[in-house]
Amino acid sequence: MDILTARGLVMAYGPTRALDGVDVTVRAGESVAVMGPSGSGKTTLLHVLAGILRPTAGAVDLAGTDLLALSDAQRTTLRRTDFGFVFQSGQLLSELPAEENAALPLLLAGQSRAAATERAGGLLRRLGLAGTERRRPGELSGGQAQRVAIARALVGRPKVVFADEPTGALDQATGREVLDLLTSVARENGAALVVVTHDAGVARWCDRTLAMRDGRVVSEFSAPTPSGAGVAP
Amino acid sequence: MTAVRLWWSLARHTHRESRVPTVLAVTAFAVTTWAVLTVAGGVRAFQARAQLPGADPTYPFLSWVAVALLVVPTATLGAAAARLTIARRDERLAKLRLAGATSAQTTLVALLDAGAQALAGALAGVVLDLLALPAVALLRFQGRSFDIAELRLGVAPVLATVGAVLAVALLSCAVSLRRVAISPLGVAQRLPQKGLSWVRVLPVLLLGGGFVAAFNAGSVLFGFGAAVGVLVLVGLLAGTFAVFNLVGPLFVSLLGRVLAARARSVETLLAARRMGEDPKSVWRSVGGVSLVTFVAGCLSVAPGLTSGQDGADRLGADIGTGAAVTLVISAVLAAVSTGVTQASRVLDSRARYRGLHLAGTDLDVLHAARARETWIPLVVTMGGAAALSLLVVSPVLGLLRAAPVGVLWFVGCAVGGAVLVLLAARASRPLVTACASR
Repeated sequence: MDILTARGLVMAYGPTRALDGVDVTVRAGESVAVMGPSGSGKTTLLHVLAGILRPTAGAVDLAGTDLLALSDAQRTTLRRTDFGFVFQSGQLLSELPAEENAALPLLLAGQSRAAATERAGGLLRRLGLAGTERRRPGELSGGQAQRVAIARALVGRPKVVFADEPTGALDQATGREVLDLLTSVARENGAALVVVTHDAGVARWCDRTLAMRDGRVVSEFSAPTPSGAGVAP
Repeated sequence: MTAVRLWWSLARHTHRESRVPTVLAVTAFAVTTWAVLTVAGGVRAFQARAQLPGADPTYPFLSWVAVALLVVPTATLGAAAARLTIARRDERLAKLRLAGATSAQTTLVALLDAGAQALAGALAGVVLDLLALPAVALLRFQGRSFDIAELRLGVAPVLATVGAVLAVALLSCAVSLRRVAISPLGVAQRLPQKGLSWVRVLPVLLLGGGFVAAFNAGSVLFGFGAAVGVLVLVGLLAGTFAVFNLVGPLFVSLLGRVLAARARSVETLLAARRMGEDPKSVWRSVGGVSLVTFVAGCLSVAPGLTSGQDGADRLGADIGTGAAVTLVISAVLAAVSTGVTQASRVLDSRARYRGLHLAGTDLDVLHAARARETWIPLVVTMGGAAALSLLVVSPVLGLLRAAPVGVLWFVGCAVGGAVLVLLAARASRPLVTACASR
């Protein structure tokens, strides 16, 4: 079943087109890697799909809801309830312990603290972070902090998780480990995953890969990524 | 020379957003300088009047008491200004370092930055003082208003004040730079904040001992001459304030922990965790008005001190005026401190506001958490300060019955100060919206 569909996306900044007629379909529970060199429009596409940016033209549909017909406030709520986000780094609140950082979307949705931290704690343990629940981000390693961010992205049982260079700040071994967890835990939770990345290695973990250049999707592969796609600089 | 050129080129090409902290720092330095000059002008005028035949020697003493009361709020604002001059510049300095600037060059660039802002602020403060003098001169003491000439300081004291503001800014910048380790790899790494130590409570005991000693040896001290006695009293008063500032953050941190354990809403939880994480900065935004509350509480008995005494009506009225002026200046300093601190905290938290909003946090939640971060510690510390001041004046509480107007002052100052602080905190709301939505 298609969960997220985008048609004819154009994002123009003056004469420059960051997106130039992009069509994307994401099926429920699948993982999609978006690859391409710097400036190819990957992050813009992610922001448009997630309802953060409003495109100049085109349509985005989330399970029957026209994203662009929603008000700013409605899209903010939708991002909280239906989407999860993992950025490169720095999204955790330094003052909150890991458990509360991960539980934040549930707390924001008005769930009781006990229920929210219990669900977050379970995810943290699933991500191999048992014993670090009370630690604050400053006391965690980069890989551990990214796993807390993954727990936070998945805690509200979102339909889609968007990850923008989630392993960009990690060494290769830790990056692979984090990515393995991200894809498998997203799958277990029934969430589709859209990962923006430079790293051809990352795409191997995903069901499908979209290669972008100059604001267009130039090719699409099912895993594994063929070598010589020439998308990573 | 290279560093100076580098600084000038960077200063000219500063992004508009990075100008906000500069404007805040210059404003804070200006208000600090204005407060110092106004108070110094007042002290000078009372001392000059005391030289006249038949003059009451109490007035210079009282003006020094006012100085003691204003030292901490002024220093707090000055420190907030100094902190702003280097805030958010770590990243820029790190980039310079990466581009090949030596450690000495980056340090010099930072010092030039801080110095330029302090100088601009101090000069603006001098202009502010000159503009405000006619209004200050309207105040009536000893049965007459001031001549502007009485209040105007000479060139040397004004230059000394500007120099002192500049020196404090540079010193504070140098100290802060030492806390930011800027490696040649261009990594600006803030050293982790150290937890607050209970050692902070020790000076309370020392101060208590000082009070006991001073009370017991009062007659001996004044035996050395009134000046020594006054010096000791003013010292004790300034000490009380300094101790207040030492213990305040500890109290905020404790409050944060207690609140975090009991928080039910996410706004309260965020506010409580923030208090626990950075109690010093939370204290800086509410400490000023707590001090005003404490002072107002202590001074509430002042009208009663002189009521009913022969010939003391004028002194009583003058003490009232002096206390009101002192409190108004303290409240203004406290409100500017809060405004500046809050705005700089918002700028420091830009990335987190943006991240939270992207992930679906309503702006209202961000605003509510920030509001709680201010009013909860404000109400609690003001309550504590009021209770403490009542304790201090408890031996002479009967004076309030003799002149209940003191209670009105107290309530007026506390409420007025709190409203100013809340308004100052609210003033940075558009900044939060801008940071979150960018």
